[in-house]
Amino acid sequence: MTKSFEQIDKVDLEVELVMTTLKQMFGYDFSGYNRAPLKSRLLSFCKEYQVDSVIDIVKPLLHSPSISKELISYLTVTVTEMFRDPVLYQFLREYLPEYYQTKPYVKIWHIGCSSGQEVISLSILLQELNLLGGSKRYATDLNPMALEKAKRSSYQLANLKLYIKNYLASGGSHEFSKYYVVENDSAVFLPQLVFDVKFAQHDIVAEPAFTGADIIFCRNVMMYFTPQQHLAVVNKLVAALPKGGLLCIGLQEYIPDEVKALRKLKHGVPIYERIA
Amino acid sequence: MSELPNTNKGLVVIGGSAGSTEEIYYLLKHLNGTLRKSIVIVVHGKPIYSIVTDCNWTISTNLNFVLIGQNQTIKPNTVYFAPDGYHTLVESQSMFCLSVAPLLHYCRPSIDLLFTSAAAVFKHKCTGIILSGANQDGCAGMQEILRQGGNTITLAATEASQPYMINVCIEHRAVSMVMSKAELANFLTGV
Repeated sequence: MTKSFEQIDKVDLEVELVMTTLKQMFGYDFSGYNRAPLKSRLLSFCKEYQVDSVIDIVKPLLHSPSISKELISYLTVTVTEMFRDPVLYQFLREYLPEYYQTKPYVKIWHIGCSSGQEVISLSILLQELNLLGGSKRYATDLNPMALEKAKRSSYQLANLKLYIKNYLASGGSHEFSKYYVVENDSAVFLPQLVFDVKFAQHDIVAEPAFTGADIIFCRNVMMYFTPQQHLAVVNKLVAALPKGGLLCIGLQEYIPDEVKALRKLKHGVPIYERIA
Repeated sequence: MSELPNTNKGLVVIGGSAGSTEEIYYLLKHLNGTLRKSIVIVVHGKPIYSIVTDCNWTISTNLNFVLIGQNQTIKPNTVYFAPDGYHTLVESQSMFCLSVAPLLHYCRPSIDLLFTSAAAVFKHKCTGIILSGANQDGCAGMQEILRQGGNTITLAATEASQPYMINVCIEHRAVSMVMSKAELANFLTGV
């Protein structure tokens, strides 16, 4: 049924037109994403690039496709930090040594690795546990610009104070400064921390999951999905994990009740084990 | 997306920054009865949910206190708290959602993002309240609530421990009512 003129939220309609363009022209499908965060990012994109309204993004997108990369990056950017949710790393510090003993090597997949802070955090943890050599690691993101950042592993010095605070809270006891060199106003993390990580562009919604990952990090990614999309992705990840495999999610994220194959390992720690 | 049956009579969004913790405590302490609306509280840089629920402050109320998680359902008679380190947005009349997008006005959670998304969804059934703070966050959100037909209230600047955020809202004509702490508590009890 046609809605009356007053009932139509024009901005919402404009948002859908941008999404349709992104899907049909560039293959990015945001249909399973919550609308409010996308809308707020599009509105702030307009403000930052001095575009009058969301609809005005469509025309340049149609005629100069190079803008799509920038827009995708803007829409999907997540600002993360090293050792975010220290309780998770604290748990892994205790849990992993025994876990590694049962396997010749452990495959780890970071989904939605963004600018790579979490990849580096795990590298540091594994190095301190002497487990880096026994790991095969993959890091993927939808956003190609974020992946480039992740490969550079260079972060603003101003953020280091928070990273170090988190590192110490997670049970780290080394001199944190041994993991990076300072260049201008950046901390560049040592190449040996990520040299073996395979970075790739990957869309966890649209593409099949890599199989055989023993540990999957998918933190603060699924929070963007609608409940239906969320359930579908969790099921996809469960299917990709072997029995005994681990799924690490964000502190404010949850596993839907329908998913019976996952069990939380410890209260207050967002890590689940595949049990069936 | 399937919507839950909407029994919600509206949403009250409350934003505060530096100095607002005591004010929030005062308001929560004086809430009683059953609310038909839901209340959301967003405070900069403080784990306000743990502060309220862990401390020895005695809040005797039959309301539910909930820390907002991923795709949190919105129910009446409940006070929700935006988690520290995430932006909270209103996705629909029955659901909040979270985001880790960049900071806004140096803050995450952002008051503007919560208020603006609440205004878009709840229109005239949205009420915005600004308490103490030394930041200009919240002003754009209050303007948007007004534009969508909702009410906007600030605590009286004379009662605020840090009136900057309130004064910014007033200067930008984003405020429809100014209330004392006691009036605010009374108002919230009636919603």
